[in-house]
Amino acid sequence: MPSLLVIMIFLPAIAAVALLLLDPQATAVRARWVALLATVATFLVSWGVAAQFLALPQVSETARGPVHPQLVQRHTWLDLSQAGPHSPGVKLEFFLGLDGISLSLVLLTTILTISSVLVSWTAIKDRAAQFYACLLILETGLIGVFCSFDILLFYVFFEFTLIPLFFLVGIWGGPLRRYAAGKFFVYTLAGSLITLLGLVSLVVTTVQANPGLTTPFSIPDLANTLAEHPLTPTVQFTLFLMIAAGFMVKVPLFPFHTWLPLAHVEAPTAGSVLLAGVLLKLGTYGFLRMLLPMLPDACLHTGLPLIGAMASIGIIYGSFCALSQNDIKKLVAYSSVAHLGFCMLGLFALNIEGISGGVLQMINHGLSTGALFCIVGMFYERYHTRQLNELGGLATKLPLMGVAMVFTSFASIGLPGLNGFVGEFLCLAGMFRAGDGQGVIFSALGAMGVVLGAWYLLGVVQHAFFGPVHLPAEHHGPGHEPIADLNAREVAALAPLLGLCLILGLFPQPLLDLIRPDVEAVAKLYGNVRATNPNAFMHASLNNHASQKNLPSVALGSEVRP
Amino acid sequence: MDFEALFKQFLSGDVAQQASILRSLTIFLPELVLSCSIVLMLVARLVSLDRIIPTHWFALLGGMASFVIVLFQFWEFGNSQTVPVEVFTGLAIHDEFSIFFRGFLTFFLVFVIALTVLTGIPDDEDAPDFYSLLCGAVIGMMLMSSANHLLMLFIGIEMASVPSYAMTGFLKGKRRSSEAALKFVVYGAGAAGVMLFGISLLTGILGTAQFSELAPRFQAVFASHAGMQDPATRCVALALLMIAVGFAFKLSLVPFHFWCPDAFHGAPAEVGGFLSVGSKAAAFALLVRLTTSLAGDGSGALSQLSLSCGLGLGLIAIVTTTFGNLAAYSQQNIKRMLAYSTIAHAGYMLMAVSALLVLQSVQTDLVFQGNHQENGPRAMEGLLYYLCVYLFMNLGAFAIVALIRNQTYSEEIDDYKGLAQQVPVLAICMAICMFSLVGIPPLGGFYGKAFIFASVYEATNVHWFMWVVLAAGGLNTVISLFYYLRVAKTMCMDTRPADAVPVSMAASSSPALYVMLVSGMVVFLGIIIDPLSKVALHAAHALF
Repeated sequence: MPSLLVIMIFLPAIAAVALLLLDPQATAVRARWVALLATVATFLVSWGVAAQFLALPQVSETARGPVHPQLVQRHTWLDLSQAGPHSPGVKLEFFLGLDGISLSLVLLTTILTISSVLVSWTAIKDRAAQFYACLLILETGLIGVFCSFDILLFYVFFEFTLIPLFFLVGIWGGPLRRYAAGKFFVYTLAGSLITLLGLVSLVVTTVQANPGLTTPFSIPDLANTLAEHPLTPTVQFTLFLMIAAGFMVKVPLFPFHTWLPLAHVEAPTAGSVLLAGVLLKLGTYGFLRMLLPMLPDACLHTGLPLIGAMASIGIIYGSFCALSQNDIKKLVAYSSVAHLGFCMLGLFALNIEGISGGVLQMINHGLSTGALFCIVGMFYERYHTRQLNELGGLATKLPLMGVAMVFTSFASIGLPGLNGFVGEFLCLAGMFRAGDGQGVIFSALGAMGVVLGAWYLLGVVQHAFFGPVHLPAEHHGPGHEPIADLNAREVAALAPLLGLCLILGLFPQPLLDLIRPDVEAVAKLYGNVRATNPNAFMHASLNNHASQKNLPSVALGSEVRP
Repeated sequence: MDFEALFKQFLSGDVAQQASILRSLTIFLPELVLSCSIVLMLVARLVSLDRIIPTHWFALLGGMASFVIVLFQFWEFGNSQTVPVEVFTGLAIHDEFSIFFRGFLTFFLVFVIALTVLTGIPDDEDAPDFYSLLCGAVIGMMLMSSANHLLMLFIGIEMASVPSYAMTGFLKGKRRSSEAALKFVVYGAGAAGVMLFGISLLTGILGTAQFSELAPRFQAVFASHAGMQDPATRCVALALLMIAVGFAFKLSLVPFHFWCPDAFHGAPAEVGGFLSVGSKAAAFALLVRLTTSLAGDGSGALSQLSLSCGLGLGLIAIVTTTFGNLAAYSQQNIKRMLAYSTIAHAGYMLMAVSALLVLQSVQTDLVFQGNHQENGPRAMEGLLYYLCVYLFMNLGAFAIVALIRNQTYSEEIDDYKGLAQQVPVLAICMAICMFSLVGIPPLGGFYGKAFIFASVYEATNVHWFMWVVLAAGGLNTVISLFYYLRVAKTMCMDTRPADAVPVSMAASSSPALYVMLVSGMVVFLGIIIDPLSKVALHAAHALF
């Protein structure tokens, strides 16, 4: 009997294969019910996995390395050591597991997939079986990335997500879909090839320095080894740039973001939801999993200034681009560039507040932007336009949708009481006390982004939802239902996302507690690295002291995990 | 050796490391079985037996029988302490490496015959000719993979090439097919002549044509010579260059690739699939055998030889992949596109050989695998794994082309628009093959490429030029994405034009099952990689 974890990963793929093989000509009705059933089942299984995970006894801080997965499943996949007695037992593994960070991202994925099935309910009529099969295969890939703790397995899942997404965008997307799909594919593949080279080099150099390491492809073992025997700064620098390349494209950071607006706009609603909600997190997750624990020196001395600068430019630039858009979907897409900038600022603050904020912001962005894309899809389905200048006073016609939009926008802006606030605040606060003064500049720039964010999102709300009523003529053919407010299905798609936005805004503590051990373990590395430089150490500890006064309840919270 | 001695050897004993003729014949059994089935097919036509039993059964059974025999030999090698032996007085060699390739080729033969049966090329009238050519070519390729002598090398290549010429021109009524065959023959004859001259030069200087003797002789002859000023050195360089021309022709490496697109365009898709996999595999086997025996243990003068050969091949590999990928980009005909893709893939595989030679040129301990004796086999393992995956993905692509051609009579990419709506099976399988050709995980092509790039990466420790090779490999992967994706896009994303010829194929029909089997193997080799890579490594060890 395979464990729940394995079931959770492969259940959607099995459903997809069943959908394709058993009934390739299935009607849209049957296909979407199968898909809904499969995603809900996966969601339930993921809660089962979460329950298993939470029931585990707490691991003491000394017994764990920087990366410490639990519920581990390890099977040898390819044994490279067969050659002879001289070579070390290097092997690739099916190494699946979960830690707090990946668990929270897995839950996000399973929730968002249900919503994306629900929003495609009536929008997808063409080749529905294949559409839902692609969606389900994509879900398997996404969950797989978060659960794999072998470098090559991680990369395999990471790349594999491209294939279903390519078809989702390319077949069911907007008018420029083929171009968008191709561009997206080529960009990300080019980036991730460099990442692959970097990862292999990382493994090879580590083995070279530590011949005793027999499982260099396992992320926890590699991180343990590197924590004890760090690589030299120059090597770290080169490896950092190589590995970061693919993740930078995926996130996307400022100069590499050009594939994103196009792909988001052309993708079908479900594609945009998953693309923004989860796919982009693969990049930030990659940074968090591969770079922060492995190459502390490079992250501190190269990553902090470089990524910090790229992220803060991205925040400002993305916000201004969003401001100037007429197409609401494109506006939301550019807002993703800005929000992911906050994530990266948080992660590269390299302290507990920052990294927790970064992880929290990943979840928040998934929820709020996912919901925004859902709403955009919903009124596009009704009015067949997303242009700001063609829409006005939607709220009078569709009051429920108006409520949802206002709520989501506030969450996305970061209004206190909603989730965006907690995440952005922690990211900026973390960055503020990082990096000897430069952090102040980055966080100041980031804070400007919050204002700009309020500007463009409230602009949409005001213009499209509350302005004078100005809607396109309802030029529907016969047989079309009259335009009505959100129906039960659409409410069901949005409600979980909005509910979570509220819950995480009011009670972020359980989530913070869930990720705290893993975040602390990573942040501890940077305590050590800083300690080598006495001035910086003084600085950091002073700040540490100060921040503990200021942020006790939010960032550090209760000392024991429930 | 007088007659009596020869007879004695025939009957009784093995000379040191050499099998008696009788034992050689037993080892040669797979080839003999194939030859017998050729004779049977031809005789069957004489007595009109082929009206009762279709000819392809003879070929199919012959192919399967010889595959089973090779499997048995493999099992024998794995179980007992059988050591590699030279057979037929040293002309050929019987080791794990040759068993691997003979198994590969006979397995492939079975798949090709099955495909031709499904697509109906050739018709009943021509079947005996076609299958005897096919089996003959495979025998030649098997000889290539077990050659241990420069003469055997030449005989093997010719024996594989001549039937290929005829098969290329097999669609006798078509001008394009005849033209393709003619180009192929002229090119092939030219390359063979140059190669033969190179062989004679090499034999003349080193005084031997035996592979195992090449390295020691080279060591002895060039122990005192140094530099290109020396006429003997120049002569050897020239000889190697000429031999390389012959190989470049067989492997369709730039600048000897011109025949390839035309031949593939003109030939039936089944033959294209056969040539692109079979003759490539055999030529790589032979190339690896020749170069590793030339490189020897990489000491003294051999080190320099091995390094310069490796770097030269690396340069050719870069040019070949880049050219193949760029040229494939603008093709409208799918067979032409696949021909250029074949050229590009030959380049990737050549990178493995290049890495192998560069790694062999040093004797210091390198990283990763621990000791330097492991690096060569690793590079080989990558090449062998790549070839195995390549068998399935390329054969799958050509099979789909042939099946669609049977219904639409067209091989233009534009006519594939929206096939996903009519034959989802073919479209999905084609997409799998295309993505695997790019090298996207978790399909088999990814691991083949990853193994090869890993060994090139290893070789960067020896010479900086390998970084260039590595970068070119990575960049080319991205370039290749464009044209492979175009096929997937055309098939899966466009809508089928109203006036297009409809295609229909039930998912449970035998052609569909065949295609699913082949592309299923591509997926399988991407998920379960351990067994095959073990076998490949085992085979690779035979060479070192």
